[in-house]
Amino acid sequence: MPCGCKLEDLLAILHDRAPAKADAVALQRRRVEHGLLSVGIKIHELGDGSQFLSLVERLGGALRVLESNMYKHAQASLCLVLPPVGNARAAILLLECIEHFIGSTLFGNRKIQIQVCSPGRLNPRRSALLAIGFYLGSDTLRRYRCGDLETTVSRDHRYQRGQRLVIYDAGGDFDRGFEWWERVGSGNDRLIRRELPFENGRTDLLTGNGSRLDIENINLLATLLIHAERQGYWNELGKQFEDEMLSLLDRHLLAGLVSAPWVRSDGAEDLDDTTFFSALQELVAYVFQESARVKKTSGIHFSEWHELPARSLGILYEMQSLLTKYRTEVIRQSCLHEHGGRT
Amino acid sequence: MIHAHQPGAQPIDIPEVIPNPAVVPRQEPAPKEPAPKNPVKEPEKVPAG
Repeated sequence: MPCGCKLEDLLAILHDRAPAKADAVALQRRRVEHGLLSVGIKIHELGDGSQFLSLVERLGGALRVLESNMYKHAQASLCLVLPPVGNARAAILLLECIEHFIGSTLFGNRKIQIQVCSPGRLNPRRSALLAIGFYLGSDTLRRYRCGDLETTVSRDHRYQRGQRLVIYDAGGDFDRGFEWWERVGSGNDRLIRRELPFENGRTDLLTGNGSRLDIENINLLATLLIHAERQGYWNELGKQFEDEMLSLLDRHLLAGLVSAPWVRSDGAEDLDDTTFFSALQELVAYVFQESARVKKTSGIHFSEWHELPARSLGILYEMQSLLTKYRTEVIRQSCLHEHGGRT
Repeated sequence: MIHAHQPGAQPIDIPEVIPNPAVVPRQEPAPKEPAPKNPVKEPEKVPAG
C-alpha cells in the first residue's frame, strides 16, 4: 500500500503547530526500542474529513495523498496512511502532532478508526492471539456490529480480506529500514540487523477508536508473536507468552476461539465472515459479563483489590498482568544487554 | 448505544463501549508545546523634543 506522504514532508508541516513533538518524532523516527517492531498507522476518518483538508492540501492534495490508496474503512471519507516509525512512542507522538495540527482528538474519537500496522505476516493462529490479546488488554471494551469491520477490500475481487480485526497487507510499499534483533552463538549474544528480515508483509489490526495503550499493547504482542514465528531475539519469550495466553484462554473455556478464522489469507476459499464473527461475539459476550461481575464485586476496598492475585479477579486482570509481565521482561532483558550482561 | 426493545417492556440500553475495569486510567501529560509567541510590539514613537 502506498504511503500518502514522506515523513520529512509531514513533519515539516506539523512543525508549524507542534514544534517540540515534531522534532521529537524526527529524532526517534528510526529508533527501535528494546528490539520491538516498527509501527505504522492508518487513520480512517468516519466523518466528512473536513478537519484533514488543510493537512492533505499542504501534503500535495487529495489525488496524491489519498487517492493513490484504494483501501479504507467502508464508512470512511478518507484514510491517511502514515509512514512507519521505529517505536510505539514515536507513533503516538506523531498522532499527537496531527491532533495539534487539525485541532481535534484522534485517540478515543468515535469518528476516527486507528489501524496499527506491524511488519511481518503472523500465521492465522498467532493472528488470533494478537486480536484476542488486543481486545482483552484494551482500555475500552467494545461491541461490534456486522459491518463495523467492513473495508473497501472486504469483498473486492482482488484481495477479499473479509470483515476482520486483523488484516494482512496488500503488497505495495514496505519500509525495511528498521533494526531486527536476533540471537547468535549459544543464544546469549545479540545480533542487531539493520533491516527487517521480511521483504514485505504486514499484519494490521483495526482498533476502532483506539488509544495510546492499544498502540503500545499491539506493538508488544506483535513483536512477541512475530519473533516466535521467525526465531527472532524474543523467540523464547514469545513462545512462552503464547503458552501462557493459551492456558489463560483455556482456563476461561475460550481456547476454541483461536481456531476461528481471525484473518483471511490470500487464496482462502471460504468467504464467509460468520465463523469469525461468532468467535468475536463469544469473546465480547464473555468479557462484558465479566466486566459486570467485576463491577458487582468491586465493593472490596481498593487496596485489598490490588493485593489479590490476578487469576482470582478474572480474565481482564489476568490479561493486564500478562502484558505487564512480558513488557517488564522485554525491558529487563534488553537493559541487561545494554549494561554488558547476558540474557 | 444499541436499543433492545420488546413490546410492552421498558427499552434496555446496551452500551457499545465500556471502560475496561482492569485498566487504571493514565494521566496523559499536559501538552508541552510552547505557547504561540505574541507579535513583538514596536515601541511607540515619541516625538523628539
